[in-house]
Amino acid sequence: MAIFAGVDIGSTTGKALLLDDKDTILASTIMEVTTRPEKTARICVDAVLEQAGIKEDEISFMVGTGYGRVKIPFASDNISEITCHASGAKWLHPTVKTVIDIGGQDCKVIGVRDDGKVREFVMNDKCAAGTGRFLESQARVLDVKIGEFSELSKQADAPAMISAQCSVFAESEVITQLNEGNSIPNIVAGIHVAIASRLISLLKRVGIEEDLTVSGGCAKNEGLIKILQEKVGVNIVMLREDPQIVGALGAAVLARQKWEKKKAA
Amino acid sequence: MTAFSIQPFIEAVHDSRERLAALASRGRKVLGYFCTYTPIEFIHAAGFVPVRILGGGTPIEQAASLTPTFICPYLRQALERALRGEYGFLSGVVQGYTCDVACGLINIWELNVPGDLYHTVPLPYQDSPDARKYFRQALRELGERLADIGGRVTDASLAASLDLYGNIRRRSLDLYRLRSQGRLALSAAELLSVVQAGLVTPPEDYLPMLEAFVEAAEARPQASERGVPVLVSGSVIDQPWVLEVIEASGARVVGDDLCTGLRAFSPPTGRGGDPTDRLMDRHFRRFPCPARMKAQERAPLLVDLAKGSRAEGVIFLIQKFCTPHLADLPVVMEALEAAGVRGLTVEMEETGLNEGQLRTRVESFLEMLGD
Repeated sequence: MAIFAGVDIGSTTGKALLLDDKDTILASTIMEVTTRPEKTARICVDAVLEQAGIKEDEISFMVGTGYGRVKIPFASDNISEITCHASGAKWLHPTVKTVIDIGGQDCKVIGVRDDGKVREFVMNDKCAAGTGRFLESQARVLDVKIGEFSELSKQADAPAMISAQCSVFAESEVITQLNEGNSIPNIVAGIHVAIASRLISLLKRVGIEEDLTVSGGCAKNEGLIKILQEKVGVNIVMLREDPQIVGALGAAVLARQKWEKKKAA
Repeated sequence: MTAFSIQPFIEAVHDSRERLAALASRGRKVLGYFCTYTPIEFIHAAGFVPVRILGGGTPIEQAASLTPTFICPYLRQALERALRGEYGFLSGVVQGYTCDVACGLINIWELNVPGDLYHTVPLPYQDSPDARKYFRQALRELGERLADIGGRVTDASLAASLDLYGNIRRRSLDLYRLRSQGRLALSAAELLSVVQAGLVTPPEDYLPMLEAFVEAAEARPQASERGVPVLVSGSVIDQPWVLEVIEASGARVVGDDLCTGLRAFSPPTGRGGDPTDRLMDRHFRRFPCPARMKAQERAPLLVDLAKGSRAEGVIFLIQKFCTPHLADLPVVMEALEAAGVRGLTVEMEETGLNEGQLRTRVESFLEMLGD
């Protein structure tokens, strides 16, 4: 049995996943990043090896991805997270054409070709608005846990207007809303609307083709996805695995392709 | 034979401020310019040293109160350097009229930085007998302004300056040719350093450096065929590390459409009866900047350049808020896509580029091309 590993070292979390040649996910893990990408990768890989009960030398090929991808000395190769998210989403949902990846540090919209390769992509890379970091900073101001955002958002009756495109100014708006007595659920929903609006502009640049899905840690926020779905106007397909491990999964899928290519050569 | 080393060029860029200040203190006037459409041969023929003003990634502090935020980082950074006294060796600025921002900036510069001469040369767009007549008059006026600060342009001095710059451009194009043939072991960032040295070194000093370097390069052919071939398009790139990141991401820059690159050299000279005719002829036959030609006419030229250099993709490194370049993009992208060449746009910001994000974009783009 051949085993393939994908290691996704992002800006806020590290993820690793093991996939075998029967297309079974043997193990996966998600952890907060440490200050050193190589250390995060080491901990992630050790965790999945332990889960699967295998040794590192049983891994046939390992692909690193995410911002820390070049700092994984034990990976066989590294591939950008855009390619990996496209590949992972395609593996999980073969009819996917568009992927929205809402990560910790940036968000991306990826157009996916029928063969799983990237057709087109855009990144929101210049500020934190529309990313996990944005949500984290607003959660601090509201004094709620980030995990509560989804449920709170669903309780909103009139989402607050958060107009700022900048996360720092958005924070000021959130404080103003609090001072004016607006409810936490309405403010949280307003934050989600602001993120969704930002994503729509990226989506329009790539072009919305169904099936459309979301990946990345923020895709677990059902409240955000509900608002996004209303704005996009097309059905958002939820993936059958944790959306946060899609990048690592794609890396493992590509690890298999690279290994097979190498073997055939 | 001279050793094949870019070190002299890196030093020339690094020490340019001291060298030019020393030159100015010995009485040789140095005049700055922003755009390569400025008739620098004319300035040189008057006895002055034309030096291209660069931004160098300088953080904006003083320039913020004098310029709006919606102009390109290059010119804001250039002004910042001037306000910090880094261009104290300049006797003024002469600017060929190309983009509106450069032409507005020269006025702000004049109001805030002491100098002897600030002058904008109006440049015709289309070639015609009337346009040449107009251009000749504009050059005559430039000559008068240069004479005001002690310069004198004669047919003989202009012919000599045209020959000098023509030779520099020819030798520079030789480097591009060697590189496109895979016979030059020089990264895109290193090539940019060689070019940059020419922007800030008196041409009579730069030409022998360049000739020796080309000679050494030709005698030492080395294949450099690794990486996905790409063309880089944009305006001013004055920070070689940007090209380093692009090549470290798996690309091989096989050609460029930059005014700190091929666009400044092509064609090397112009034809004509008298030296002014030669200068004007080259002006009209330049490989165009988007500020000088309609997108619909420029797009096929860019497609040909990409195809001719066998680039599989074009990476647009565009100064943020650069209207001429950004306005051309939809038309140029469409033409490239129709020719089977994909494009990636990266905006160069005032605060610089985040290396990690640039890598992610470029790697994803190359992975997209690689199928």
